[in-house]
Amino acid sequence: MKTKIFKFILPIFAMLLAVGFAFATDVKTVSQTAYYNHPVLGVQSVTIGDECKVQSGFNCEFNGYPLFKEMALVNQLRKINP
Amino acid sequence: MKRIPIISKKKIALAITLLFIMLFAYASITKVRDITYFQLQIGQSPLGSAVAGWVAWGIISIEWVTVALLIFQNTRQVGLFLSVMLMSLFTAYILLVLNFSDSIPCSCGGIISGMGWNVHIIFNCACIVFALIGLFLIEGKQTHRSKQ
Repeated sequence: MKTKIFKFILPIFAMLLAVGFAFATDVKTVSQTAYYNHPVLGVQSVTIGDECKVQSGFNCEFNGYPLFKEMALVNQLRKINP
Repeated sequence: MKRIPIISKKKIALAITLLFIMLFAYASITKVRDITYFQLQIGQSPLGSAVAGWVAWGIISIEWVTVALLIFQNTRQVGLFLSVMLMSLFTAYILLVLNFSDSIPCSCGGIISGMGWNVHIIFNCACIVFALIGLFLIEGKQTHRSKQ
């Protein structure tokens, strides 16, 4: 019986614990709409995370195109960490 | 005089297995909970947005296959081998993207996403070492059993 616990029940318990923990921790993803200029399609919108802001740092890009805060493509979005 | 080990190799291998079950189960559930964001992050990576959906579900599926393999004792060795492969691939991806790409998306979930890049690489390397130790211990045990 003890062997059975170690062999099968303990791994199952570990998995359930991890699943519970994953649900217990909050998913704090704040999404925002960003815009980029596609050479063929024109200005396109894309949903991104909250790490990109109008600040100094590394450029936020989507498929290699720089992202902007508004459709007018004035304020470029950047993030602190690369 | 025979030395009695306090913690047997079997228990160390089991502890490593449990660690990986928890790691992959936790990581995959946090990804599933926010699948849209996960797909979006992959779309921003050099892989491109065309395959983002497939890659996202592919990674989640592989993680659950690894968990399933680790649960059963007969397939635990394969599970640990897959864990080494997965962690090596994730680490290689981080290193490649850090060095060769302008935009660096992190597709990590939950508390893991709170890590910096350097901590993430150290964490991954430690996991690879643990998986290799587990693999070595299980392999040693099976070799010993087959000799008997």
